[in-house]
Amino acid sequence: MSIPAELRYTAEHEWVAIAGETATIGITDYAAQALGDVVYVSLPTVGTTVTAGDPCGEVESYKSVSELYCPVDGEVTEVNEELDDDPGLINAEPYGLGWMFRVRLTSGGADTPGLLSPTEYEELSKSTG
Amino acid sequence: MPLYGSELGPDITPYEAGLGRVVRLDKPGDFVGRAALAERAATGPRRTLVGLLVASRRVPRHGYLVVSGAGPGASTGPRAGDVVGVVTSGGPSPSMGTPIAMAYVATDAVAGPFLIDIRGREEPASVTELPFYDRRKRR
Repeated sequence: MSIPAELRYTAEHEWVAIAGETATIGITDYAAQALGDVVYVSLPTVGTTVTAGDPCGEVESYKSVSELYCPVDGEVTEVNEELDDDPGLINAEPYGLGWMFRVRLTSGGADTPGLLSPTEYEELSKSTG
Repeated sequence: MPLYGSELGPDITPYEAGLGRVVRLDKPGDFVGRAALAERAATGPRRTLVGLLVASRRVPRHGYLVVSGAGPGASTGPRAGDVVGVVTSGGPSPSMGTPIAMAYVATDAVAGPFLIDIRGREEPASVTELPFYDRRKRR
């Protein structure tokens, strides 16, 4: 199970890549493995204002469905439309082609409460998994 | 196939689950529930187990409500928006290409059309024969 060092994480098993004012969000390898094969994702609409901690979509696998939480404050600028045709990308490359949506940050950024360092996330996924 | 805990349980009769054939009311001696089952056998089931195909990629799960999608023109039976049943099992089906579900629905609503309330948004569903997939028939 991989936890790239350059990303930030959440307790809901999502990752955030912050570059300048843009945050890219997806679910972690751990989450993708725990869910099993993803069959459908519902993502927020471009232009939506999102708030850290609020549900903003769903990830559905064969086994179950989970809510997607927005880890940061901002406005959705882009969603990964490839996932509509090929949700399996989330399992194949959770940190790459399986990214989910991008947000233009309005506040907080990397300092948003609730964001975890790779070490903290590793601890968390060990204790829950 | 009915599974105990989903399609079968203490409040579901064998007639509702499509298993009436396993009840022998004429066997010698009495058994627990005989009188109650004889009455149900005579009146017919109030609800019945149906297979549903969902016209969406969102997947119905155990416990989701089935709502009638009947048009306003329907003079008898349930009206559009009435809750007519509940999903007992559901999941994505690679063989069928759509999500599938089993649900108990009121006998007078069994013809559909149905909507399934999937976490607040209703998705259309149509009735299909059980079992969902028979490789001898469809190959």
